[in-house]
Order: sequence, then C-alpha cells, then structure tokens
Amino acid sequence: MRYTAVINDREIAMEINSRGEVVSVTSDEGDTEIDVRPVSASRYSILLNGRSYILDVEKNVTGYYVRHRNRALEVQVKDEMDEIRERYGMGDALAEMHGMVQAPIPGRVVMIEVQEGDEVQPDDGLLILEAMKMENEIRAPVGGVVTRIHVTEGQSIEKDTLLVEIETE
Amino acid sequence: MIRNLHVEKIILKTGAYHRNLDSYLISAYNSLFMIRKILIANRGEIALRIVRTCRELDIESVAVYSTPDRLAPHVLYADEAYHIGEAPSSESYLQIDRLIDTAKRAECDAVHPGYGFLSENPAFAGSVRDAGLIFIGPHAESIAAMGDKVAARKKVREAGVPVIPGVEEPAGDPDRVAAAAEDIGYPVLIKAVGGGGGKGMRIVHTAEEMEKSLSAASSEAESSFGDPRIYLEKYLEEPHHIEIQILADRHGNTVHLFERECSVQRRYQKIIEESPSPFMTSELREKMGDAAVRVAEACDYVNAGTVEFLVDKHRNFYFLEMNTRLQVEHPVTEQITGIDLVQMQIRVADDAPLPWAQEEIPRSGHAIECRVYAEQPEHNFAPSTGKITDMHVPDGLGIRFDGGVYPGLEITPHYDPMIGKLICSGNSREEALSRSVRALEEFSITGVSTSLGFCRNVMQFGRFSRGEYDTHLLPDHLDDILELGEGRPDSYVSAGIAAAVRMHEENGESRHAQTRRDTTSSSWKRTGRRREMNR
Repeated sequence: MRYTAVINDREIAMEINSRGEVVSVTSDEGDTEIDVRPVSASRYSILLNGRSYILDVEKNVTGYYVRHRNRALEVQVKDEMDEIRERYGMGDALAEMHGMVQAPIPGRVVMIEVQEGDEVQPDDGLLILEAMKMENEIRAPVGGVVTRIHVTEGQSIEKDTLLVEIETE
Repeated sequence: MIRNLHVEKIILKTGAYHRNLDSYLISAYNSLFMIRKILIANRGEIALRIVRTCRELDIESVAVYSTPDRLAPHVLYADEAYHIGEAPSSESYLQIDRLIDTAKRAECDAVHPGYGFLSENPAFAGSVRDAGLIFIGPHAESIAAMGDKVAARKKVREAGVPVIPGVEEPAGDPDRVAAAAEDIGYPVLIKAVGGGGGKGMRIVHTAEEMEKSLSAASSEAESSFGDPRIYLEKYLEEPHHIEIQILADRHGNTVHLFERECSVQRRYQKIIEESPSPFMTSELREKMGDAAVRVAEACDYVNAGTVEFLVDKHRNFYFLEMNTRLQVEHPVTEQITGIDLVQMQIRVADDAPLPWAQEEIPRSGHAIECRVYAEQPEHNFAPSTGKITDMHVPDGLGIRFDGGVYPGLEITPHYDPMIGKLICSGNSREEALSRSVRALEEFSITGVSTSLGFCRNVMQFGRFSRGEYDTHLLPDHLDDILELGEGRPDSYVSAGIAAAVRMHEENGESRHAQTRRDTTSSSWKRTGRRREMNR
C-alpha cells in the first residue's frame, strides 16, 4: 500500500507491504535505511540511517499529531484510497476540515461572539466555552465566512461537538 | 507521655532519625509524638506527596475520595481510604462534616488539608480543632486574618512591611484623586471598582495626563461595568512575583526558607517557579525574609506559610498576600534546602520546636519547577480532558516528579487540570535549566494535551534562560514562545513514517477487526527479526 505523508508542504511517499513493513521511502533526502518498531501504546522507535527517533503519534481532527522530543508536527497522511478520491474531484477533504470548528473540551457555551455571515480572520474569537470553571475563548482556525453556528448560548456540549463552520476563500 | 523538647530538638537537628537510627530508636523517637495517623483532606499529587512523607515518618495515612477518584493514586497508596461523596468538590472534598466524621471514624489524630479545597477555610480549621483533632496548618484565626485582604493589608502595614501604595476608598472628586496620585507617586494605575482581569485599567505617567485619563477611565468603567467608581494604585514597573517560604513553631520561633521566583504566569496563574530568583540580591533576600517573618508574627502564625510580594525593577518590594498553607511550588524550596516541608508541618503541628535558627538553615544549588497541566497552550491554555493513554516520566540525576496520574487514568473536568510537577535541580541555574530542557523533552504524555512542550519552550526563550524576566514575560512574548515548539525539519521524515505506519495499522484494524497490537507476535517484531537475519 502506498502512503504519502505531508508535513508543512513537504511530501514523504512510502510503500508499506502487507506484512506492515516500510519497504521504501521517497523523500528529498534520497535513499534511506529504515527500521520501525512500536514501543508502547502511542510510541514508535524509528532508526533512520542509524539516527534514532522516538515519536509519539496521536490522531486528531485533521490527521496525526506527532511529537518528537515534545516538539509538535501536524502530519496529514493520504493512502491510495484518498488519492483516488482526490483525483475524481471529491474535494479537498482536509481543507474543508480546517473550517469545521469543534469543541476541544466538554463544557458550556456561555457566549457566541459571531453571527452567521460574519467574516472572520484567523484567530478571531468565535465563542466562549466554560469548562473547569474557566472561560475559554474558541478562536477561528482559518479566515473566511461563518456559514453555520451549530450551538446556542447556554448549551452544554461534549468534546468534539461541531460548533461553527467557516467557509474559507 | 514523655515530652522532652530539648531531646526532640537534638534528634531533629541530626536529621537522621529516619535514615540511620535503628528501628528501636525510631519507635522510641516516634513515641515522643502524638500524631500517629493523618487524614489527608485532598486529592491528586499533593495527597500522594503527603502520603509519602507519612510513610517515611511511620505515620499512618488516610485518604478520602470522590466517586470518580476510586483509582486515583492517593487512594491506592494511602494506608486507608474512604469514599466521601460524588464528583463535584462541593459534594466531596469540600464537605467539612463528612471529612471530620471520616477522620474520627478512622481514629486519626490530625488532618492535613493540602492546598486548595478547604486549606484556607478558617471554618474547616476551627471544626477540626473543635473535634479534638490537630489541624496541620495555622490557627483558624490566622487564616481568617489573612483571608480578609483589606484587614490583612492594614495588619501588614502596621507591622512595618510595605504594601502597594494606593487609595483604598473609591475616589470620585478629580482634585482629590490628583492629590492622592501625587502622594502615591507616578506612574499610577487607575482601576475600576467593578473591573477585573486587566479590564478597566489605565496607566497614568504624569500629573498632566491625570485629568483626561480620569474622565476616560470613569466613563469606560461606567459603560463596561455599570459602575463609574475608580481607585488608584501605584503602578509597578516590570514587576516580579517573588514569595518567601516561612515556617513557624508553637514556641514562638519563626524562620524563612528563602524565596521562590514565580513571575512566569499565564491567566494570572503560575506555571514555572524557581529558587533562588535570578533577580535576587543577598541584601534584598535578607530584607524580604525579615519582612515575611514580621508578617507571620503579626498574625500569630504557626506552621508553613508563604508571603507573596511584588518587586519592582528598582527592587522595591510590596506585600501582596499571605497564603496560609503549603504551596504547589514548595518542592523548589525543599530541593535547595534539603528540608521536607511536609515533615516539618507535621512535626510543628505536634508541638516540636524548629530544629534550626535562621542562620543555620542550609541553602545550596538551584531548582526549577514546571507545572504539568492538562491544557492546550496554543489554544489560550484551555484545559484538556480525556484518558491518559501513554506516559513516560523522565528520571536521572536531579530530577523529581511529584505526580498524581498513571496511564489509563481519566483527567475529568471536575478538578484542577494539574497532572503533576517536574522539579529539576542542579548546582547552578545553568545546570538546572539544561536539566529541565532534557527532562521536558524526555517526558511524554499522550491522550491529553499538556504544558510539557510549552515549558521547554520557556526554558529556551532568551529572556528566561538569561534570567531577565518579570511578570510580563508570557503576556508580551507568548507567540514567540509558542513558535519555539514547532517540530524541526530533521524530524519530518521520521514523523511522516510514524504517522503513515499508524494509519496503516488503523486501516488493517478496520479491515480485519484485529487487536492493533499483539506484543507476542507483532508483525513489527517479525520485521525486525528478518532485517537482522538479512544482514
């Protein structure tokens, strides 16, 4: 199976065989010798041309959140199915995801700062979510137009509830 | 019971009774004390930390827990544990009657309140005492005296300790306000009576600006808070938040255990503390230490407490408040003095005199504490909840982790999101700093977002690493500090592979509904073996 990982516009393509082995990696760095082993629940050890990396991998809304020495990287991974979907014009699912603002924690919506139709800049406040006795401002991850607000003031919500949709330009 | 204070003092002074003396002597020494069993009216890392000292002193510990905390570490490690109610603190950890009933039922001699919850509630301290139990903390009257901020300010000023100059009565008449500002000395801060959290504040640098600023502040206060009243306070330039640890026995002795620098704060909450303060001079330390002792004496303080000060860039210091309990950041002081503060709290509550005079208190090296919160620094430090799926705690020379979690434990929205505290010590600040960076990079928690990476970024931020920072550090440089945590390009390839491998596992899982990892016959292990054979 072919996979392509995208990190900050850098593409790393690889082939993983049916036994789960990373057979080949294509990156800017040329040929690489790879050994991948799981260490614990979310942790992998990778030896890359002899260099040792410990990586903690977690899934999030837009892809994978990978940490190396507590430095964070957002990684999007496409498998063959994703590439086929993309080729047949099923839209850039990842980009769409960016405008879907979800609740990072469970809590109560105390104030909504935008209205449908409002234009927002990245980082503009969207709403205030009260959790653990603290008020947390939920901000726009991207700029665009607020197309839908899915919650009302006073509403209690679970983690990952879709709060606001922003259509990017 | 034989109580020989002189003997106690000698034994305490050797500091060796629980390490080198044989068990006969330990039991003989312990028989000098009344406290044999302590109820810990708290949860999380501090409850566990108190359990540990109890065990070292051969004192039995009794934990209490709310329904979701049944498997919390303090319950697992205490000698006994009792259920006291439901998840909300108001139905469990704040239930005074239930806590005291439990203490009596379990035949405890004393109650340790920890920090937070009921630790600064004079009614609780009073009820414990009325129930015939020892409260491991100050007298209820001292807690009450320091809890009333206006009364405390007055008491402190009378003790000859400076407070932040200001006009306490809300001011209205512009001429009187201007005169008061002259008295206080510019720059001054105009604050709205109804304001808070930095809103409705205005800095005035000169008398000329006063009239205009006053009317603007007043109308802003009116429109924002529906209350035009304002008051004045001296504006402190580049303020440091520095606190002094004090310890007082029941025999009239009060000492201080030096300072902790606590200027790294977000949302007005501390996140990194260190001792000594890089801003401190030995002259200032002596002056602030004396002042803190005077504050404690002014309210007949016993046990451990902390006097908080603001220090401006000219090294003028002003009393802020007194915390009448153990502080979250107390380990920093323990690391540089070698003194177990919880042990001292217990001994002092049991009438033991302090074993040292002020000048005998040891101090060496440097310690830095990073608070590990379940939170998202990049989302305005919003708390993060969920199950801890994986955890790797650093160790090695100079590392201390006071924690209260383990993998599989759920971080719930009911309580403070602090997971634990990482304290790194070294012979010098440089050593403590590089050790902190090393440990913060070794430390990994998955399942919830944490402040680990953020704390490392702060360690590596120039102003912090040079020791040139004040309380403006985080508010003024947050974006630059967050940026330091971005993954480096040399880890892109490995990160991409790890994520793809993870996706491949998930794909396989959904196709075959297999357990993702079977450690005994993992395909990864087979891969490894084959690779080795091929070599």
